[in-house]
Amino acid sequence: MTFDKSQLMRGTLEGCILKIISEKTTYGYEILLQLKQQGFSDISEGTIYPLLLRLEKQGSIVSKLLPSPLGPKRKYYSITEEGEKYLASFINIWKQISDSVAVIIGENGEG
Amino acid sequence: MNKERKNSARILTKENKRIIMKIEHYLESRYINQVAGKEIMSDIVGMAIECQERGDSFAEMIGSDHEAFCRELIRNSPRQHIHERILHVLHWFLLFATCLMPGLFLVEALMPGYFPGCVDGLFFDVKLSYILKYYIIMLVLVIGWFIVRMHTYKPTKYVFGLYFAVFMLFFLFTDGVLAFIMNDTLLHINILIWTLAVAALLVICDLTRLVIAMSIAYRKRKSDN
Repeated sequence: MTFDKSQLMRGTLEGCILKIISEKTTYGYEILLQLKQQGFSDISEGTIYPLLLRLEKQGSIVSKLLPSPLGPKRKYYSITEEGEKYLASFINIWKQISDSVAVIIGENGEG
Repeated sequence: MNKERKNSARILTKENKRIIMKIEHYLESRYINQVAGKEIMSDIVGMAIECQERGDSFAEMIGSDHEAFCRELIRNSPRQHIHERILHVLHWFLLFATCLMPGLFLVEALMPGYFPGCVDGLFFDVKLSYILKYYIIMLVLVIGWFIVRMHTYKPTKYVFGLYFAVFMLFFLFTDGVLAFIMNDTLLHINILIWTLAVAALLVICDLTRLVIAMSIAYRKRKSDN
């Protein structure tokens, strides 16, 4: 039996997307490319769009339609004050969890 | 949907249009707030156009499981208020109702004697039990319409098979039963007034639904800011 990666990915990706948006105002496909560059190779725009919706719904990000060189106007996302707080809280929790997991599994994942 | 994106949607391939239509049907049957639903569809069309322009596959872009993608969208979207939901169902009921009576009128005008009634100019004389029968069948059609849309990603044969079976069952059940149990009254309907009245109700229903949806979306945005 293999571990269900999607469960672990959901919360983690949300934090990573928020971090990318916090660095600059960006759009869905650009976020996807950055995530892929950092090793999230098997995700698609279909994975991140619902997460962007969720972040927008909870007020962590806001969107704006701006002109695009490809087709119609594109939705650009930027972080809100609420989102900054949410991101800080995510980073804090992530550090605690990753430190604890590293202690149990070992830094090199050797158990 | 944003007007610019609506115009651009024309350049989408047949396959991409089909995928978008399925997503739209699925989302519509899951009671997402009307304003939020339109915004999501507009975003999806925008994504599909960009994807097509880049030469990528839109089907692959939204992942291998399109139903799971829709479920995620629904999970992260505002739902309809109960009033909006009632008006949503009423919209389909009135839409079918607007078409039904002129349809029956036309059948009787073209095939006199098909119903126990008659057509006289713009007037349609018909037995109440027959009208009731067709309205019950219409209700089944509306419910079936929702069921089919809710099962957009299930095998078509299975969904339509089930829909057809239920529809026939109601058709046979209502055929004759109402005429048997009812003390029949003959209705005298002006088809033009009837159609205009139901169509006006449909417009009122749609406008009210839009106002409710917009006020919910506006309130939501205000509370976010």
